[in-house]
Amino acid sequence: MTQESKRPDPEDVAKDRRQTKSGFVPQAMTANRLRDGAVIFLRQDHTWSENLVDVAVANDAEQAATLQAAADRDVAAARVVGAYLFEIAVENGDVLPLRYRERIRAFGPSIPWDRPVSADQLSR
Amino acid sequence: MYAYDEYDQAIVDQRVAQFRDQVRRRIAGELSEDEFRPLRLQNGLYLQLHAYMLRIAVPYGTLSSAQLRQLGHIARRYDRNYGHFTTRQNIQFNWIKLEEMPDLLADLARVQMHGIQTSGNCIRNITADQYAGAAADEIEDGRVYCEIMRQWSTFHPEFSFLPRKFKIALTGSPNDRAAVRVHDIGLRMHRDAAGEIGFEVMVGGGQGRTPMIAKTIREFLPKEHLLSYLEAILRVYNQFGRRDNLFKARIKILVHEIGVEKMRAAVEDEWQQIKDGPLVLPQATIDAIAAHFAPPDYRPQPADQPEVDLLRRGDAEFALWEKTNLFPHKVPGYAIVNASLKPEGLAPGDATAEQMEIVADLADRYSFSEVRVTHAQNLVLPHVAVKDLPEVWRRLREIGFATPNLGLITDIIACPGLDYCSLANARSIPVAQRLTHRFSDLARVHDIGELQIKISGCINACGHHHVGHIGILGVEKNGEEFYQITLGGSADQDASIGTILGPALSSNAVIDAVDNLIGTYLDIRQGGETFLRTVRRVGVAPFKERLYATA
Amino acid sequence: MPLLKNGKEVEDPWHLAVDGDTLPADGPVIVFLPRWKAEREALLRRNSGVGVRLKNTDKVAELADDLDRLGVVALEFPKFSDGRAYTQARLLRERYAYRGELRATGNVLPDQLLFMHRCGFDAFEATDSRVLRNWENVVGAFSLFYQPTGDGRATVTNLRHTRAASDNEGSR
Repeated sequence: MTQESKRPDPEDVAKDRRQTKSGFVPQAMTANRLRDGAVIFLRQDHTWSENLVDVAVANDAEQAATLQAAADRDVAAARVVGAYLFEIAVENGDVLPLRYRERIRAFGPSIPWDRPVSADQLSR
Repeated sequence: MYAYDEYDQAIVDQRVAQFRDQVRRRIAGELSEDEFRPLRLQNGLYLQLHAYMLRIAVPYGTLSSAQLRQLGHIARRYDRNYGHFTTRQNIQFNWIKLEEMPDLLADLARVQMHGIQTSGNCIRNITADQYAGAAADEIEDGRVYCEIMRQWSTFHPEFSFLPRKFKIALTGSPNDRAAVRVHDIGLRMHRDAAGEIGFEVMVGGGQGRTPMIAKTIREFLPKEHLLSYLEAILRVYNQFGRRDNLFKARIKILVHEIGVEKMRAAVEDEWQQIKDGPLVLPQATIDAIAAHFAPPDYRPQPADQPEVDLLRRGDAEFALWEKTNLFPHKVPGYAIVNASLKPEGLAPGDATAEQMEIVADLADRYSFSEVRVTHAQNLVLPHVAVKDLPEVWRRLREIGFATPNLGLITDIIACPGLDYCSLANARSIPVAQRLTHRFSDLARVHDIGELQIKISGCINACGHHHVGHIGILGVEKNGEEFYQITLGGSADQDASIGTILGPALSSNAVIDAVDNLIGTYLDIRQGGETFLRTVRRVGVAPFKERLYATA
Repeated sequence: MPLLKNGKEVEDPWHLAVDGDTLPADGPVIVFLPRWKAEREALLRRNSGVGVRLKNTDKVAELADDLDRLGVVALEFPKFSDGRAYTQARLLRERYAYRGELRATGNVLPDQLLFMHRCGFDAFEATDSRVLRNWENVVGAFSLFYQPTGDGRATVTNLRHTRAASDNEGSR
């Protein structure tokens, strides 16, 4: 995973929580992959992706419960750890976490953090 | 420095084998996460905001060049090419893969390192003066006793499930550089009336949501009783420390609730029953450990150093660095060199694999292969001959570790904050970065003088904000980052907890606020008075008035 | 409930009497401390063995004078993370020289058996069947120890002294 180029500024905190007509704030499911700890997001087909763009959006409590049940199965099967739902906004098809904690989690630290190893270092 | 014998090595090797089996069982699904969590934490492996984070113990802040080089290897092979030195003299890696942990631990064990007891409710890595064994002002090299305590506390069967984590710090110098008064137990070496060296024992200090200065429970403890006395304190704590409320479980709350007199009575009562038992430290045992810390083979140094004099006169930057980043060595002709891990605009305490390797090379060539980690998140080359200072400075400057700012306003302590940590409420590193940009003028930095800014991203206070001359605590309000400022904290021999200045400030306002506080200080300081002395003389009111008048 | 004793699964002959229960007419019983204190004489007259179970807030000193009359002392781990019984165990073994069965009850997990054994426990109520299966594995995971705990194992310091002494011997 490399640094995202269009990472939103976490300081640009969601000003308003976009609720659906029912009063439900849309949610998505995240976890860490057990073997390597990578941050992952649950797709509609209940597989996991490292990219937030792939995430399934729950627009009501029933859909959220379905995502939770799918995640729980993978927790029990020792595939993922620490699964939880988080609140999102969907704008023009783009998914944006509401809390900046979740934005940092989805897009990486807000500071330079990826320091790739140069070729000559690798050859040492 | 201490080198493992075959017994120490066997214990760490057995630990690697044990964890290899535990990881295998976890990945195979034989262990649930609830069962596995305590096992991985006991090896320093956390699940953080982004990934698994590994905390590796650097016992009492002492590293060999081989160990530092191996940490560079770990960064490159298992992580994203850098690590983060912490306020507890440890190092953390942010992106470790669980399935690679057994091999990683085996690589660490090859250089006598591990992650044992860097997490969990046990006795954590013991911290010490980073200049121990080198400082001109020390009474004795405290690392000897730290190593004795390391062995005693490693896998202690009685004290591995304490009410809460337990931190011990030791200073062998009257000038406390180990913040011993904000630890669960602080030990200060000093001489009694007869000239014998022993320990003042302090208990119940700490930071977190209830900051407290440790109280002296015993003025003088002879060396032979060090372990039995610690065992008595831990035994009292294990039985009577609160377990009903996580936030009240540290020993500082027990000491606060029953009072230091009752605590002392309970400890002394327990100690009387075990003090002459198998924990007594015979001089031979102390000597055997002390032999590992024998002084290196210092060479006589010429009194005149014309090359150094020339550079000092000809290069203002070198002169400034020499004035700021060195500390007096106990041996004439030698200096203690601080490598500042606080360059402008980068995360305090971060080092890349390459930087670690270059510092390791410098240690091999110029510092008897020794390196230290400081609780202020810098590195130290403890034994550099004065004649070698120009070359060491040039090499450190090439890797960005020669900023002449030690102990000054840009030598900021910061926890990882919300950029990495799942406990954090706000970010710390970006605040530190912006402060280093704001105070990038070295002349101004030196005019402001001694000043410690410490930043924590949550009330757990890993960034030591309570004891910063200026402390900054990140909080979350309605989904936004705010920062609360404290003034007048100190972690040294006259330790104090900072006073909260007023309402928390927005992320944008906090940099201006620090500037404003500095303005007040520069206006009202008298003579060469430091920032802390000024705050202690006038109190926080003048600072508060001016800050909130304009805020 | 299966009992692990000296590394082997054994039948547990002891009956735990909850406070207020009528005691069985015969057979060995374990009672809690308040009942022990209230009915000590009667309990000692039973000739089928008596043991006491302590809460982890009870003072072990209360049993100091009676330890040689007890067949079992049972200590509690209400959660694996509540480590008070480790101190109770060491006090019983090292300070009060208790030599009878010292039993761990409650949330006893395999990965803690070694710490318990080091503190003097020699019997473990195994609510978790993995406790029975893993004894050799967990107790054999480490062969060297730094702390003297009265469990009879030589410490690293002991071993170093012995080695230093034999080195001196050899060099003479």
